[in-house]
Amino acid sequence: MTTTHAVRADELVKVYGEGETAVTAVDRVSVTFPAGQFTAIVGPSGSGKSTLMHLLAGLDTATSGSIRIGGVEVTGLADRDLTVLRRDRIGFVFQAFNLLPTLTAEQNILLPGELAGRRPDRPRLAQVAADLGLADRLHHYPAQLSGGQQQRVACARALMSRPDVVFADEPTGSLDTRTGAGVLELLRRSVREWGQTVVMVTHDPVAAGYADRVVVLADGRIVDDLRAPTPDGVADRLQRLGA
Amino acid sequence: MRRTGLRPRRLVPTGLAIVLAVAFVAGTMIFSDSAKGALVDQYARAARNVDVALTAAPGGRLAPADLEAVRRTDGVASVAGRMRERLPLLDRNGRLVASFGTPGYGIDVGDDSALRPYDLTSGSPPASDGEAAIDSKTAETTGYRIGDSATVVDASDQRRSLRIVGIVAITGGVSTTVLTRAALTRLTDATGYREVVATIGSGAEAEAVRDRLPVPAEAVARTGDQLRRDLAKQAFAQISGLTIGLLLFAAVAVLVAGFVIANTFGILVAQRQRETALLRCVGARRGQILRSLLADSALVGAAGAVLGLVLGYAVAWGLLAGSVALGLQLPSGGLVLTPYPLLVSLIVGPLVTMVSAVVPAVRATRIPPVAALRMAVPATGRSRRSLVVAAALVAVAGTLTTVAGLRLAQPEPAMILVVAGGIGNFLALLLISPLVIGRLVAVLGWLPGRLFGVPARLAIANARRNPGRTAATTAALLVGVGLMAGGSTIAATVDRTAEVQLDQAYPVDYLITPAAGQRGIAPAVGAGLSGDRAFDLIAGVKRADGRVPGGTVTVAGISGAAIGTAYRPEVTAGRLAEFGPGTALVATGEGEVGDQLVVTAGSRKHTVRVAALVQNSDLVGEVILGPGDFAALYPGQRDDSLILLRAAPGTDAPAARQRIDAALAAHPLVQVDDLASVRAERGAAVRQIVGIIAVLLGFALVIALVGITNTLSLSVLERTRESALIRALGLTRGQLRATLLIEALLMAAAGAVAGVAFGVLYGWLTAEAAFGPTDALLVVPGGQLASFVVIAAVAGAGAAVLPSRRAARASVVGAMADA
Repeated sequence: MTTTHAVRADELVKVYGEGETAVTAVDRVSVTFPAGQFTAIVGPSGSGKSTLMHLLAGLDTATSGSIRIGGVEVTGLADRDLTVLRRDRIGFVFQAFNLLPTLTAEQNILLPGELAGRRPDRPRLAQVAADLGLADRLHHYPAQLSGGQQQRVACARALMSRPDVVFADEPTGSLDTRTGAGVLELLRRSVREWGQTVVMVTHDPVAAGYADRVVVLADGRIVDDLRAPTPDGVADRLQRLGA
Repeated sequence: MRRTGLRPRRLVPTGLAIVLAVAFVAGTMIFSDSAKGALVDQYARAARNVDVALTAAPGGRLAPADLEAVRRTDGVASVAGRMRERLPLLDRNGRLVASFGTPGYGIDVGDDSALRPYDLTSGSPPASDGEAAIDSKTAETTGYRIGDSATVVDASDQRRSLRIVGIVAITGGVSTTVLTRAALTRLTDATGYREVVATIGSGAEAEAVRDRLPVPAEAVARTGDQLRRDLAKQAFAQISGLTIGLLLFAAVAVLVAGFVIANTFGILVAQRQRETALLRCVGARRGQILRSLLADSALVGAAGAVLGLVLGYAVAWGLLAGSVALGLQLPSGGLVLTPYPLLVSLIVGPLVTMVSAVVPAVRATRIPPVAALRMAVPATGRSRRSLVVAAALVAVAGTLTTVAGLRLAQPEPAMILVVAGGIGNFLALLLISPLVIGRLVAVLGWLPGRLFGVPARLAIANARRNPGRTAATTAALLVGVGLMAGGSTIAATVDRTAEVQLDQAYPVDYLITPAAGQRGIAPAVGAGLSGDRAFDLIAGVKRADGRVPGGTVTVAGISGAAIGTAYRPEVTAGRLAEFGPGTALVATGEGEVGDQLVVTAGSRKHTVRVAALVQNSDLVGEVILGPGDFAALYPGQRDDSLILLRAAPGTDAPAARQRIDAALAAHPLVQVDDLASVRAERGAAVRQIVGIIAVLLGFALVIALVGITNTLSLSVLERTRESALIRALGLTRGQLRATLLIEALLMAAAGAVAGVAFGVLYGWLTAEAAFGPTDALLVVPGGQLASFVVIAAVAGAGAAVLPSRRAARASVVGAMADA
């Protein structure tokens, strides 16, 4: 990757509603996410962290401001181009309901590539599956997998195409502590070992502790930017926000 | 508990299915009532003012003495005799005016103007020998006006000229000429009345007077009310076939609507599983859940019934307007609304909805309260094994019934058994369809999968994920398309088989037959044609009733030279070459070649040797003799009953036809069937039947498509999060829409393909049964069937337009948050 910034947002604003009922969910946020870094966006509920991620990932359109992903200006793109951008440059891991129930684990992992009309990269699939401990689960349907396995399949899908950035939205939210730790470890490894860029939204200080950097959000603004965070430090910071 | 909280909007498709089904039922009933009403009004004219009536036996006449006896009966005030005799009318070009091959009648002007069976619409009634009035319909078709001269053919085949002085309105489709009694008697050589009607004096009782009437043998005495009732019945008989057919289609529509409703409620119940469980948690009893669901369904059904009734009125109007296309000649009249359609609609609507909702509702009651606490409850389906066993049992019974039907020689019971077996096997197919529909969808999806990639593959996977639901959705189409395909196959097969049989038996170009009601073709016709070089094959066939030891038969006389050339029956035993003087071809299905057969006609007996056994032909007869043997039995018969004619090579069709018309100019009372045009006419008739079936079943298809829209809309709701996910992962809006369109297309195609396969199979078997021992020639109307599948598939995709638009419109983030 030639750009040093995987994702860059400038003066990003998102307003819901109009007139008196208007709510500013994201308020002039400017932030950059360097390539090869694991960043956590934390904040109390209602802080706008999910909205910020949706904007950054091209799932929602900003009221104003600009976003660049891998050097491409995202704001102003038509729905179709946004879709293609998500497909080709972004990986997603959601809290739950990550997988299509009608497809096997393998088909789920290969889905974005197929949508792009690419031939499946078998060696890459084998490598990712082996790294994520999914080699013997590829032909199972989501309903036949445990929650942790499902999240690992989602991670595998996100990592499969070596995207510019992986967005993870509370990826451990519906997992028990131990399984959740496995998924977070996996995301950290993808950054350390493969140079992947990961942006994770979480409200969990322990999860945030896995990141290289923590961006703290409150009332739609960035209120802190912590390097090499510890869970206690993040928890302390959130506590002071009154979360 | 007041309601289950089913959102009204989700019940709209259910309501729509009911509206359409009820509209068809109500429309059929209103149409039938209106048609009956119009017919009754018309037939009542014949019984107007009549208090008592004496009617001759069919074919018989009442003598003038009988009329006088009625006049003398105590209580009778005035009497009128009614003559009605065959009196062919010719048009301006000298051609016979016939309705469906039946030439016209002459009636007398009547003794008492109050007791006339017609109304004078213009001019005056005929007062002298050379005057006549004609019915308004004939006046319209022939262009005859008052003052014109019209020609009729009298009993001795002479043309007589009459001056038209009046136009009358009269019941019936046959052309009618009104004459003075003297003129009618003179022209038709007939005396006596078909009917004697009378009014009674004040103070007399119609029943009492009727009982006092002197009734000749085989005549019937009726009061005016009885006569009116009987006339009405006669009128209804005309349309009862059509009404029954329409009601059958209506039943199909109701059945299809039932499928759609059951499916909708099933999906709603599945979607509301957690809410229902929550209700159970907070104390709702099973009975309360059941009752509230059924109450909802009854409400929807009632609402649908009311709207359906309104639409039904429009349907009836359309049927009445289009009744000519259905082969009916109905008098014009307004729509008649009796309480029955109202009552039936208001019962059928809610009842069908409730019955269809029972199974899903009962399933809802089985949801355990704990389901509210779980994330997902495994779907409880009937076990596959019991389903397979049930389907297998039904299929075995259906197949055995079908086979039994095919073994029967008599067409009618055979057809009933085959159709019953078909219904059984169809049920088996419906039972088993959840297990096979997935595979069918996968097979049909192969090509789209290749062409459209991921969206198509997602569509296939989606269509297969809930086979029960997909099967229920396609069942409606299966029924509709199956019936259409069956009907088309039967029509095509019967038509082709009959045509081939006709072609084989009569390798000729023209058939000349007497006009209806005429006994024969004058010998001069055959003689005139036989000298004509334009024809190389002429065979006259004489027919008469006779008896053989087995019973009454039609005996035919035909020249030996015609056997095997103009008439070429299918031989089952013996050889046609053996036929000659002293021998017979026998088509009674009894006897052996070489038997001595005694044929009796009146007091004459004649013994012939059986030369060959042949397939029966309605046109010729069951016992076929040479001219000499025939003359021995029926020495007085000179007229031909049928002339078979083949154009010589080199004579083109218009020229041949011209020669025939010239030869027949002096004999208008015959009918010439050009076999080529007979074929064309029959082809047109078959197309018309298929068209009518298609239009009527189109109703069922519309309902079935409502079901597809329905299922997809609910599936779209269910899959909101899935759609959002896949949109996030890179599926464009267009691709998401395509996914749903292809899913609908595949479901519709699966139903249509299965329906076509089943329809063709049973259509053919039914036709096979209809022909008894003769093998039917299976004709698969490929073009039509393919068009059914394509129409169903395209319409299915059309049914997905709205749901897919809704799915594609949803914003990714919003959909994720909602679900």
